[in-house]
Amino acid sequence: MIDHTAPQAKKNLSFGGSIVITFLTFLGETATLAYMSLVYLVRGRLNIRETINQMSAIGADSLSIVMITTLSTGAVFAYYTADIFIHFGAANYIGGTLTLSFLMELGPLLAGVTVSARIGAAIAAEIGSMVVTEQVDALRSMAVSPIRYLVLPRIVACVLMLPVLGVFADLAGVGGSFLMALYHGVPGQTFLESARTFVTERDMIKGLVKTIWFGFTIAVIACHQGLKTEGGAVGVGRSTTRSVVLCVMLIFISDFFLAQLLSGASITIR
Amino acid sequence: MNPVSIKNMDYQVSGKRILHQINLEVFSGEIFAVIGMSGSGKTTLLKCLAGLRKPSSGEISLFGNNIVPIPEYQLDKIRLKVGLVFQYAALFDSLSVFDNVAFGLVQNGMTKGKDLKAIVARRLREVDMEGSESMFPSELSGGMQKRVGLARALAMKPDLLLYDEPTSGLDPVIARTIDDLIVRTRDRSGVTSVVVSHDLASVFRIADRIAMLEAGEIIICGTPEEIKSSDNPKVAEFIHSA
Repeated sequence: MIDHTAPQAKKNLSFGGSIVITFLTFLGETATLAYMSLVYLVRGRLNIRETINQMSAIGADSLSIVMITTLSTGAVFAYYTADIFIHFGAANYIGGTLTLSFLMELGPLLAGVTVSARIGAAIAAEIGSMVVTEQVDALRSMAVSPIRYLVLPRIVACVLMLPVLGVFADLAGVGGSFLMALYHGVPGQTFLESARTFVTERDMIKGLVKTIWFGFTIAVIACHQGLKTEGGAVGVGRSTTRSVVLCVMLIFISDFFLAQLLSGASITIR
Repeated sequence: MNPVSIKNMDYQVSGKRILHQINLEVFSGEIFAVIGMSGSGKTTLLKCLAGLRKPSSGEISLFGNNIVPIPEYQLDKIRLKVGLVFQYAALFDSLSVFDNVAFGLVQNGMTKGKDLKAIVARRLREVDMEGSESMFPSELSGGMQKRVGLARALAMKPDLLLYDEPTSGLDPVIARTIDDLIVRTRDRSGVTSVVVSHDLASVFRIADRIAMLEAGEIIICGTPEEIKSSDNPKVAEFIHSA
């Protein structure tokens, strides 16, 4: 009788081992990328012109898509919840619940996911194309660090612009909720009074802290995937897809931990 | 001290041998060509010389400095002495011709303002591309891109110029122009040049010495006449099939 268990066990072990190695390599490479970027930033080697270009691409060009996404999500969210609140005689809780949801969770999260899809993909594709056309090698051959010239401006731009997009996402989301609540017969004054009662400035700040982390994550992951591109146009496509998938996954995972970290006195009734 | 000295260099990727026991000396001011079939390791050798690939073992000395053990972030001083002209030019898509040529100088804080304009204009004139400053790489033909790539490399005033397949994909007339440019550049500035190519007509026209790579190993090194008269069957086959 042939024993199939040993080869299978070995196969499982090597598969598990390769996953661990891949994960540790990914962790090491992204941490190094972030650390090297920080070193260049501290040394004052930030390329201002390139950073402003990136801020424009990330901020201005993403604003409309972020606002449309959150506005419609806010409206849909209110559409499902308003009737239930009214049915249980809790109409004066709608504004607070929806506003708090958007400021602390949905606004930052939707802004992060939208930017991952739009900017994370663009960064990975652009840097990936530069790798396969040897432009990154050209940078290195001229004693210009790709981390300083390509990665750092994108990290700074994402970290600065994500909170701005987060504010607009919050405004659009709450606006969408407000309009839908009005449509369901909740008086505007009741909605706003409820929001004022349940939500403090700190809640908004906590939400925006998340966007800073999301911006950092998107830039580091997208740049890392771009720089690791191999194999021409197919490789660029693969890096782009992987960048979006990793960014979205890491945003959701880190959101869970950030929620724990930032919770506590988040809901304050004045 | 020779500008380039390679001793017992090996280069492997994932256990696969790409280059094996490479030993070479390139003399100051000469045009040294490396020939060989596609996949023989020519471009890898060039990228090792430019410090863009790290050999698995052995020594690469550029101007007396062994670059193999030097970490990436400390290679910049040596890289400023080496210019690399890429096979497909590798110009930055988003930058104009002016910004491409000025790029290395600006990023390394080597010059500013009027000086920069004058240097870029001079380098473009040297490669017969004057007046193209405001154009973008997508508006240039392959030959023009290669010339701008050469101007970009020359702008940094390198002591060593590395050319990766400078004439591939070009028609014979433009290829001849590039050949003349390589020789003219050497004659004008005395720069040491290493040319990697499988275009034998071009190589025999410009090279002072030639080495041939076969499956990652150097099988012959000598003057063009010595290469032509070699009785090594692989060399003879390569030359006669061209």
